[in-house]
Amino acid sequence: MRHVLSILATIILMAVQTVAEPVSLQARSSRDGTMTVRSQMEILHDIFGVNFVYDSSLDLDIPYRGEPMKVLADHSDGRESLESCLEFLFKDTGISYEINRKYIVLTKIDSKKKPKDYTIFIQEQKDTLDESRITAYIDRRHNATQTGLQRIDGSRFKKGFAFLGSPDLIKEVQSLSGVSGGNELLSGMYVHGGDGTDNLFLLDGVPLYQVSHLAGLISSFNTEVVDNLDFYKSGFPARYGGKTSSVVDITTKPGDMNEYRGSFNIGLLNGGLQFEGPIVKGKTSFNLAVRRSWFDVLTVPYNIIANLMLPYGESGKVQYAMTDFNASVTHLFDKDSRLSLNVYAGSDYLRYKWTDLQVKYWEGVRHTGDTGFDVNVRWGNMLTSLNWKKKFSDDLHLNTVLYYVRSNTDVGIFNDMWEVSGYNSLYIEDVDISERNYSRLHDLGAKAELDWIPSGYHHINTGVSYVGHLFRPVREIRMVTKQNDEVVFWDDDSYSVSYNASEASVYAADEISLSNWFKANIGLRYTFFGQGDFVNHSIEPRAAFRFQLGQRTALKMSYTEMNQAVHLLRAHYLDIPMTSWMPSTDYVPPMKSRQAALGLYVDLPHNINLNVEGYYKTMHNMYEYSGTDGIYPDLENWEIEVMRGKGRSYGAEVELRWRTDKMDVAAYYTLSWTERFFEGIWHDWYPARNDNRHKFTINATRRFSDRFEMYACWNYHTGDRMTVPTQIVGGQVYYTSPYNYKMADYHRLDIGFNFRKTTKRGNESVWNLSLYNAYCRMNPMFTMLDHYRTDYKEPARYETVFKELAAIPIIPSFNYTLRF
Amino acid sequence: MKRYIYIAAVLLAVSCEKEVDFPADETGRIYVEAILGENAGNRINLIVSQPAFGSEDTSAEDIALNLKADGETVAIVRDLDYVPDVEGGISYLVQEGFQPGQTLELEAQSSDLPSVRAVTTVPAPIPEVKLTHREVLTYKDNEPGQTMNSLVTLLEFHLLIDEKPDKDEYFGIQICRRTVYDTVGTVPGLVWKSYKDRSGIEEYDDLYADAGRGEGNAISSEKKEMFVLYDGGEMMVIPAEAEGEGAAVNAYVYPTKNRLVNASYGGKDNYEIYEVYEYNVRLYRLSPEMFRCLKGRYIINNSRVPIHLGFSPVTYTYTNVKGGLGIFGAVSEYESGWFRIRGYEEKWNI
Repeated sequence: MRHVLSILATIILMAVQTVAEPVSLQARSSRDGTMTVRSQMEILHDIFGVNFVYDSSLDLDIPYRGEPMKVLADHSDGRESLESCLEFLFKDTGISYEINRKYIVLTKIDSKKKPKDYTIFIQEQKDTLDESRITAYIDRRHNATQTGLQRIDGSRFKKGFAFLGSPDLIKEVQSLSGVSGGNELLSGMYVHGGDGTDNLFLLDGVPLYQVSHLAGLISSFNTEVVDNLDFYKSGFPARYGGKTSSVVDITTKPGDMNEYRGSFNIGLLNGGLQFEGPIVKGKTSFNLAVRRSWFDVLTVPYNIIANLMLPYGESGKVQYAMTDFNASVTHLFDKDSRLSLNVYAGSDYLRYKWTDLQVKYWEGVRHTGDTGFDVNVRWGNMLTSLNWKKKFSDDLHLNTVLYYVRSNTDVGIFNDMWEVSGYNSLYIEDVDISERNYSRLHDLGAKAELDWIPSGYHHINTGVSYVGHLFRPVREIRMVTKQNDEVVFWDDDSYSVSYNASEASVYAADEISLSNWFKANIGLRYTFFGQGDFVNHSIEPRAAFRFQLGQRTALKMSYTEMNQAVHLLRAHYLDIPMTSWMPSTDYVPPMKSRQAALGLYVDLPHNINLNVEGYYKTMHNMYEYSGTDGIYPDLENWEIEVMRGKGRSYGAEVELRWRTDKMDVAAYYTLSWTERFFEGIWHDWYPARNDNRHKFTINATRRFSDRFEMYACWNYHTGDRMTVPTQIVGGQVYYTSPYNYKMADYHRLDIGFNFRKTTKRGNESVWNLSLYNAYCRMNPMFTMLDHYRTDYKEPARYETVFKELAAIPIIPSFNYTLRF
Repeated sequence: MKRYIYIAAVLLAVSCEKEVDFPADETGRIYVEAILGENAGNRINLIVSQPAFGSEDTSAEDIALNLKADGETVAIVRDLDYVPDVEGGISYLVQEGFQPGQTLELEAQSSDLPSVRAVTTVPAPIPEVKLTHREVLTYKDNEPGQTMNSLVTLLEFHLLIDEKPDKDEYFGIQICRRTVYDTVGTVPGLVWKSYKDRSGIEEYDDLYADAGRGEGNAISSEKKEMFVLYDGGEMMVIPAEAEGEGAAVNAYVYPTKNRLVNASYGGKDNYEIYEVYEYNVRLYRLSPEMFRCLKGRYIINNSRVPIHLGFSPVTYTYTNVKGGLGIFGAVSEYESGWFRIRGYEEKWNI
């Protein structure tokens, strides 16, 4: 029961699994004179300066009838006194304790979870006049059975690295090993060789389809409301399904049940406000957060200046705005039952307009007309979910979710042409063409999950889910031609498809603890997908094993199969809303992946963690768009416009972490290969676009004091691959093999400074100043060919020059946050 | 102020480009252009490509070519009268036709260039084709991807085959038109000679004659109807409803008027000369490699966004000529033979 203290030098954070109630720890003073366990704990706190960490369900108000702690502590000194006191205090109480430097961890003796299943991290300690509040989490990452799991605590976003001054969840995940980030600044996530459309994002258990704003510059997740994030890149538990490459499971914080608080922030990209507090103290709370961008404000003077520089009659306008809104209401029926309503709404709006007033004279008469175009793009998500968690006992938990999600894109392009001509008579032609492509995806779903611990050897997790999908992409084209103000041609054409699909899953998994050194998580997931006459059944085995090799070393291995029945139809790699989600059909069956992983996880001395993982993954029924429309994919024949192929990816990842009170350093290295085989593209395996052989990231945060910290992040990866023509036949260029060129290696340094201060009213303010790409490395984003004639004699001679183009220089940024 | 802003913008734009040394090919590659079928007189064209980042005089004269059918060497003869479209190209004629199911192998070697090898299989024969035609008023896309449609009068050819194609089968269409001259009365020799010399074949669309530089038309039979995967040239091809278990396709071309081009009345010469159009429709079953090559070129030539920018999700680099470039394909063919459209003449006759 008792453990000798390790030589750990730092305080480690503990992350609580959200199936159980979040751990909320409070140490309250007992001032009524009754000797209870709790009151004696307070005395030990005063004498030895230790803090107690325990689950809030632990009853500490039981009477204590032994020797008072004050008396016991006087008889000896130092640490032995503390241990003796603890032994006296908790004897026959049914409570076990574990000493972790300044923290004493308490658990129930008959708890199915043994103390060493928990590695405790203290997130923050906030002392007020009335109480000392410590929020702590259990770190399951080290002790979890699964490979490939990264647990990021929400507090991490409040400190340390911030992208352009604003913390960004997806940018944080992009820095991890095994993840390729795609184009610079954007939110691409290519995990273990995936294609970027195969990542499952869950917001409080509900799948979200659009996860970024502005082509991926900002993610859809407001870090002010994020509680924690679980990122899986292998070893997926059975409760997850629907995508093939990764799972990003994000949990938002419920509102504070006891006091009002919030934050306000303003930065280079956007500003936001978050506010939470009780509706009924101790029973019902709310949490609201809103963010909005500034681009539309900043572009007002730009538009004015640009229009002043344009010739008479020409005018242009660029406008962009993004907004997102998070809201939750949480109600505690009792300490074992709670209901929460969550709402998320995010939207983006982009407009580009250009007009040119045309003036023509015919026989001395002035005629005017407009030529130009107007592009209007709107896209976004809306999510509503009702979540009920019920704890029947310490060993039986139920979690149910009912949800609705809507994902929409709307692209409108209006083209106006006006022309005057004529020889013997006036001829005015005015052609208006409008094209609108919009896509809606509606999901209505429900899921229920049961967590049951029947004994100390088994932990069963089982559940069912159902979601009804409605896919509705539409294309409308309208053209009106007028000649001399008379309509001579009118065409109205629209095309839409509508798919109703059902997706149902049932799964079961058992975490088996056969001994202290061996654990296994064996699961099976069955998924049914039906759309029209198309029906697909998939069975997905999930297996993970952990071998504890000594106290500090664990060996893990896993095997998982995943299926994805919903595909993103896109004609390009950019994260812009010219896309449509489509269901599987007879001609476009579900994607599948199989992945095996093996890892070694070691706690080294001096608080260093070393993790080494290897993986091998195969992917089938991958799709590439093969139509000619460069911006928007064809809807009418989309099933035959996609080309089917397969992929594979394998590699090794090393993570090294070192933490002290003042310093956090994390380094990630990935060595990987990612290949594709599409029969219509090439007759053999070829490297994928994001086949970055080496990737290295190092993050360092140095806390100089409570008021000042500095962070730096250096990213490096070998260049993305492009396809460059290498031969010319009769003036026609030929690409001799796909992705035959590797661009220059990418590397970038970001640095930032956080200046913290307590205001006169006791609130925390943080100024963040940062430099993105601090040494201004112009990393190439795409390639270009210049083909020009070298001389004008016959036969013509041409020279082709190859260029890489970069666009992102050093970007200074700021952000001000006030927490109240 | 405007000047300084302009200069800054130019400097910024220029400073973002960097010319790099691309590890390009130092030599050209052997480019093969060959579509072989049942008929004799098949042709294999060889060209040597030019490296994209260099310049080199290229000639295919020293390329040694070898063709086999089911492992047996096939006789080929150099066509010395061939006038290449690309400088330095040469052509060989194949002395025999090939049967459905035969495996064809091509090898080409040169002392200065990488050797190439290609394999293809002659597809199964085309079943009976039922061909009908009519005049229609319909829309025609000007170019792929363009939203503007033109309402025009077209001549529709409807082809129906009594077979349900498998998933991995591909078809193509070629419509040829030729001008012939009909006479009424006795035309003087000198007058007639000038018209006779003008008669010739004009192909609306040809799958392979301009391979690599023209569009292609192919029909995927992954579904019950024949689908058009892409369109180009003067001919439009669209899917059609099939009857029973068969597959069908419609091909559209601009109608051409038969017209009176010369006449003489009175005197000793009484004659009329009419310019009349005849059509020959060919339906091909393509080998899969051939289809992929054609489609790849079409995508490259008609994509709005250049592929080497890196934003397009698919890059068509397919060639079944390993070590080289080009198409080495095979077809089975249905040919209608030259015919005139009855009733059409009378309607359009002046």
